[in-house]
Amino acid sequence: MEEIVGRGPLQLFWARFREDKVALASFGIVVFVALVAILAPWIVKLVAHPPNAQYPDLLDQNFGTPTGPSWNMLFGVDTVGEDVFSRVLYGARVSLEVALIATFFSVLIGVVLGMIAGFYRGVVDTLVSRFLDVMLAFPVLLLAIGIAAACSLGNGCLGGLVQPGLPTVIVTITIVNWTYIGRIIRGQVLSLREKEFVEAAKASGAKDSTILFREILPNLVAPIIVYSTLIIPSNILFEAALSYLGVGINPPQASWGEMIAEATPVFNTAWWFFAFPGAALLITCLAFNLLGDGIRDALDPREAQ
Amino acid sequence: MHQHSKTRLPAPRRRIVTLLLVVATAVTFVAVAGLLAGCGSSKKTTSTAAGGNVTPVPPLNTNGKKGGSMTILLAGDVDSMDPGYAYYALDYEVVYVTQRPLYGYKANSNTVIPDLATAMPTVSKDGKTVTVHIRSGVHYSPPVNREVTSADVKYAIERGFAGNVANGYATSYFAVLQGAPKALASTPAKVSIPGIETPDKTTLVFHLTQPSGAFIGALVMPLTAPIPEEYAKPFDAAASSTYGQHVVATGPYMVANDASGNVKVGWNPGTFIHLVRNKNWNAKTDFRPAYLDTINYKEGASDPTVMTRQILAKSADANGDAPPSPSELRSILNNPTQKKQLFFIPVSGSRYVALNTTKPPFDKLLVRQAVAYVLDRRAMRLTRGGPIDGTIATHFLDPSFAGLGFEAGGGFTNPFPSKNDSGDVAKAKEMLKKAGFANGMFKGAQVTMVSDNTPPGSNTAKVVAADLRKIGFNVKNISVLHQTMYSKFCSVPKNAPNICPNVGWLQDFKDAQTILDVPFNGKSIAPANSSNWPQLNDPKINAAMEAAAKLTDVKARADAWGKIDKEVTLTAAAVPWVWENFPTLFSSRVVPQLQTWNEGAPDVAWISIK
Repeated sequence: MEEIVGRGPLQLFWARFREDKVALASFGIVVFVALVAILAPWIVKLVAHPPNAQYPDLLDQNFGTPTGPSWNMLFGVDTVGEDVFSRVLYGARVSLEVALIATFFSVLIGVVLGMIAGFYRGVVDTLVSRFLDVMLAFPVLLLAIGIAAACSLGNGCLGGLVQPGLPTVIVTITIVNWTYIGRIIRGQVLSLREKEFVEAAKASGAKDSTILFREILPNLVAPIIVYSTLIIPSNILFEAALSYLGVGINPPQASWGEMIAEATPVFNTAWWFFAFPGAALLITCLAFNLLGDGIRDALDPREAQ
Repeated sequence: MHQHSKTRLPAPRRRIVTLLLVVATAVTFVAVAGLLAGCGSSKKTTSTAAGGNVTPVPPLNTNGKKGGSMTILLAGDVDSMDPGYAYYALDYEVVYVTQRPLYGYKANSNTVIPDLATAMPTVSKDGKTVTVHIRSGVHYSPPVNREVTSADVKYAIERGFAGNVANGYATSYFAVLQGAPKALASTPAKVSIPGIETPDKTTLVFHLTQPSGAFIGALVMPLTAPIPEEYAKPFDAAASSTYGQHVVATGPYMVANDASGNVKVGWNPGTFIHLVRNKNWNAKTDFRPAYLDTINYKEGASDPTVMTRQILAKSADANGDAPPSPSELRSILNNPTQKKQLFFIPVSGSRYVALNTTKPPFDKLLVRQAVAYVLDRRAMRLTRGGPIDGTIATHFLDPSFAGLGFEAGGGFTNPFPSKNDSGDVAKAKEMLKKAGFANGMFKGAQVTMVSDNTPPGSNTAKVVAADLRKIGFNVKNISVLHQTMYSKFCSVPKNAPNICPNVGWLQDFKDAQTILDVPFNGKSIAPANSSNWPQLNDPKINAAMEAAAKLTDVKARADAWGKIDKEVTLTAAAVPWVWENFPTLFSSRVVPQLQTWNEGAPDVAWISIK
């Protein structure tokens, strides 16, 4: 007879996760993209050209159209003769930076406000929830374009606190995206606070902060992890969308969204300028999404049923 | 413990299917894109021939077939049908076939010839009196019908100064008339200019406060087209004149109108313009053949690719205001038959990079000259399509002024030459060394640049920024809409950045003053809507311009303005980089004829059906 061994939640998670081949592969891709982003300067030094260096000689001298992939320029050049390969690599840096920082802040704000609203209920909940409703009712993209446009000129907005470029994009995405996680956390806390272990803590005279951080927060770790992983790809796409619309990352800094925007009008003469950043965006977002799905399944098998 | 593996399976399997689908889509996409590119690159071998080898301007169509109709595609609309307001290439395209200003042009020619006038103007010895005789037998279109008199030209010029007509150039070129207002009069106002006399029905005598070559040149502008006062008066009494909606014609064509003269049947803004024959037009009084019966302008052609395909498929006959897309141009130039219907006409004027001369670091001549050396004009032109876009500019008077005597004064020089026009970094560093920067690399605060946020302007800005980085500048670029670039930054001295890389200036008519005076004269620096983008205010240049404006002798004028061209170029306050061409494509069912003086717009008074 097999011995029954007790396993911790982490062990359980790992046991389930490693059987999910798609999630594992996605995890591999995410690690790969992260490595590429971190090592971009060295990779570029070895096999490519600086991301902002222009090589007008590599444009068609009669029409100014870009030339395609070659051994010299692995992914071809863009409309001003920059190396698309290096720009895709550097674009990964921007995408991941934005995704991680903006996700961290969205989650932080969402969790704090969600917990307060769910735990205290009453007036506090009404205020936070209605604020959430208002935020959710806003046409998100328009709001984001507004904020980004207001902050992307001159010395930024809020007295120079929010500088144009990366900081603006991060602030914009945070403001727009914290609502989803806030709502979910509030719902979770609302049900958790009625659980016996919370009642027990209350009965034993625990302070609110103790209950919130010691009793409730540990139970929120699973949804926080799952939704963070799922928010990351949407944040990457959001950054791309803002840059595509011209209110995101400032040139000459490379960003996938900005590259796709510039590539669209020359698509019939320069497919590589469109295809490579597009593929990078697609693969990265897909990997994060599938990874998030996998983590959710592994943490909470009931969902999958 | 093992049950989860059973229940867990469906989700990943679903995801595998999704993943496969996405990957398959991506692969197909890349494959198709690759195939398309393959088709493209097979043509590459012939594309090298395209550059300088474009179809020359066609001969004048003197023996065309009468009758028929043509369709011209427009992305935008005319600003106004009112000749007193018209100040834009598309306005001219319509105005110069429906109206008869004192002077005009034949198709395919930049030479000014008498239109409503009978001959070139006679100028008195002191240059202050200009006399013009007008033709008799020219009649207005219905419902006015009467003959044109010299008083109609006087009224037309006077109303241009009224704020409710708001002509854009009256105060620049016609303010030298004795008693003319120096600024537009308040709305609505009737301006009377005693300096315009009409001793009889066919004579106009202009009395000027000083000799002015630009005034004589400006007689070709649509402001001099006659307007019947008794008919136009009620419309000109409105807060904003409504004469444009009731315009009557003197040219071979008119905008289709109803019995009261309202043109809404012939002009539906944003949708169409419909030109029909002016039945009161007498061919004997005009040099235009006017072969066509009707001309339809179809508006809303906002997609240049679709527009080009329509013309090639003969469902339309020409592009009226927007160029075909570069990729279409490329394929047309590779097709020997289609190529014959495509014309690249030089646009008089240049694009330049303006350097703010009022604040560091570009208040220093040597630093500006370093920029003039380092800019890679060839790469800049490639951002707009390379050689088909135009000629690389090295000064301000474009090649259409060549051979008119400007060279003698010192014009047409290239003070900042470089190999292949791709910039001379060594020379630039030399300038910076002279300016006191060790090893020729600029050291100092970040410089700001405000550029377009869409290609090709945004790409040009990228090239400029990269070139400046080569000599040590740290460039901060703010990219905005093209209009915002002008209205909020470059045209507002208070907010002007160090660099405006996307500005340019076009001539009003063939006169060097219209290219150099407004954008570089210190007096045109205004708190808002300023056209002197580098804010160049050099007393020597200002004085030279004031003196040159008074010259009327052709040779003396060319000498003086040629010298100013050189002086302005040497300040490097503005670095010119391209004299552009505008591409106009015709369908194969028409005989192409162009207003070469007006960016090569189709000249419908000369076009005929094959």
